[in-house]
Amino acid sequence: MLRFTLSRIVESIPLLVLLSLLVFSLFKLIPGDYLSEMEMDPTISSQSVENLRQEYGLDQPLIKQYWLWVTQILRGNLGYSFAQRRPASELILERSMGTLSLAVTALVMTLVLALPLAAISTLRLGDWPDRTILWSSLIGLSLPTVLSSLLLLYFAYLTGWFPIGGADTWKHLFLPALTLAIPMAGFFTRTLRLELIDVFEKPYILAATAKGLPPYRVLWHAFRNALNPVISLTGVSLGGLLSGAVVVEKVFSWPGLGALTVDSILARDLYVALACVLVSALVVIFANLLADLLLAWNDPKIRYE
Amino acid sequence: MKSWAWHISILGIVLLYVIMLVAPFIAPYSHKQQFREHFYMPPTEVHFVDHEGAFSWRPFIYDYERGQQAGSYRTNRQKLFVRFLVRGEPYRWLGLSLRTRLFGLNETSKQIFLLGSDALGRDLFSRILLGAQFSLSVGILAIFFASLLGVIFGAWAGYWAGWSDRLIMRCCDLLLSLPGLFLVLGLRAVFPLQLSGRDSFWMIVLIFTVVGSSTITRIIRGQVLTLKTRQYVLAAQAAGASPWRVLIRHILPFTANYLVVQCAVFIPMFIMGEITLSFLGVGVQEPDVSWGNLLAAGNSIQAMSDSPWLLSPVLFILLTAFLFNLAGDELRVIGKQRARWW
Repeated sequence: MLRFTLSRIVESIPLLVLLSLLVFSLFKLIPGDYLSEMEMDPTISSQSVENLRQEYGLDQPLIKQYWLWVTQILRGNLGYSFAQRRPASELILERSMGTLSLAVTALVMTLVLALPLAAISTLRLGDWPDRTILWSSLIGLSLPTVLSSLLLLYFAYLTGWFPIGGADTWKHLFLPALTLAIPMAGFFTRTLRLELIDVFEKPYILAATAKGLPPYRVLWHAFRNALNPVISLTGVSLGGLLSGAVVVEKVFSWPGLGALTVDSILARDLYVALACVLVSALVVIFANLLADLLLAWNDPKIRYE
Repeated sequence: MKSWAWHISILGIVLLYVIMLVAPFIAPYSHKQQFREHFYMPPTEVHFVDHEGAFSWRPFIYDYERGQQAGSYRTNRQKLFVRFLVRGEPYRWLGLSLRTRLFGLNETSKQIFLLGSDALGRDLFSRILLGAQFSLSVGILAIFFASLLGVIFGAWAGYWAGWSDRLIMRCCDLLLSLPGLFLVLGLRAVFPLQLSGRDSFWMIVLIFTVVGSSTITRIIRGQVLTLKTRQYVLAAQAAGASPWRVLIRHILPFTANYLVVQCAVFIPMFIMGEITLSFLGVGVQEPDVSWGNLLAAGNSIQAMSDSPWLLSPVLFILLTAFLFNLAGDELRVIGKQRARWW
């Protein structure tokens, strides 16, 4: 297990290096730099801007700037937000917590929806419940987040059951999380259903049925083997979840990382926007690493492949 | 064996694109034309039967005037007949300067707003039709360029294994491991915030080309890797065919199947991506129009309570998403059957 863990970590290093190169080149593609705004300010002399440039190493060759940037990132310094006048790391950490609570709630909702639906679907294979679930999961899966979030917002307005915008109570969390959970639940249901159908053809299920176990006990046996994909599905769909969160956070004005990214682009606070991109990528890469390790821990076959 | 779903979805998609092509003709007004007098006007009701029960073949609307409050309107009994093939404001279509529009009113002081009007008194129906031009064509162009890049890089990486293969694959891994919308936003950030309609169009095409080409590169590379060990390919190589000839004649044609399925998946994704970007305010900007920034106008409680017709682009987007998903699903089924049949 230790060997597998280490090799998996080493494997992700080139990815991280490429990621840092990508984000750094995006930084450099932005016209001007951190201090360009100051040059336009008539109260600051161009000499003092030059001095600041030297102090921050912005006059160094690109390689050196890249190295400086990477070491600062590793120390947890993600830059400075000129729009909000505070360190970007502080801002991003604060907003990441918002996205985290949204994502975790959405994941729980997904499982609450998908596990029973997949079970019902498999137990009544080819019957009307199965077909209904298949169709509705396809609709949920193909509904763009922009539309589902707007429709749910409209629903909140029509019924008045849920507050609109803000982030105080669980009621504020419910609809945004549901919006994120709908496409994921569709995806999970369909994949789990296929997985369960596969497992149901295995002899041990036949043996369990032949022994006279009630269907729900048989299902329990099947589920334990079909749960592996849930872990990898979670890892795979995390990127989509974060992407969806951008739209949901904007529509429901939930303070999260995605809303921060868009707002920073609109406010030309680009260094914060790119720092958000970097953080989101790191989260997904590490989550996938974690999912791989969990899978290997759960299923020893994977470790020796 | 092609099913009804296949026929319906393809027919629907073709119809959508035809409507998109002739949009300026069908739209009664241009997307910029403002009727400041008639802002937030609810959808105009088109009648065939008048209040006395008399039927007329020619559809008509009732004349209206502004009420006391801002944005309130009341109708009177006077009929305004809808005219077809009327002379409207000039527009350009395929390089021609035309004035004929499909329908409209003879009176220039009154307008027909089939789906209502927005805060500046612009006709929403016309804006949706003209917005379709932007939203629907982005996907097609982006998939074209993404396939081109994907086939070139994929063939290169698959055919000439080595460090370039590894480098290309690592870059694809990176692009695929980033959360999609964040990657798009990161690429968006390096462009200026305010862009003209044409510039933002090409910017969005460029962004989605980058995003889409990584997956296509991967798929083509995988195909090329398996195809290049086939005996007929080895025979062609032994006969002295140049790598270019082997690739173009013997390998790439057989990747077309997978490419088509991938396109069916990506086109709706790109269309929705553009809508999302414009919805967030970083894509197409006013006064240019796409389905995304039309949706953004409906994204407020005020709009939902006072002028819910601003949400009508939702229906068009839903229809598009549904048609493309149906077609994609059917294509996948057909692709599988084809593969089994071989």
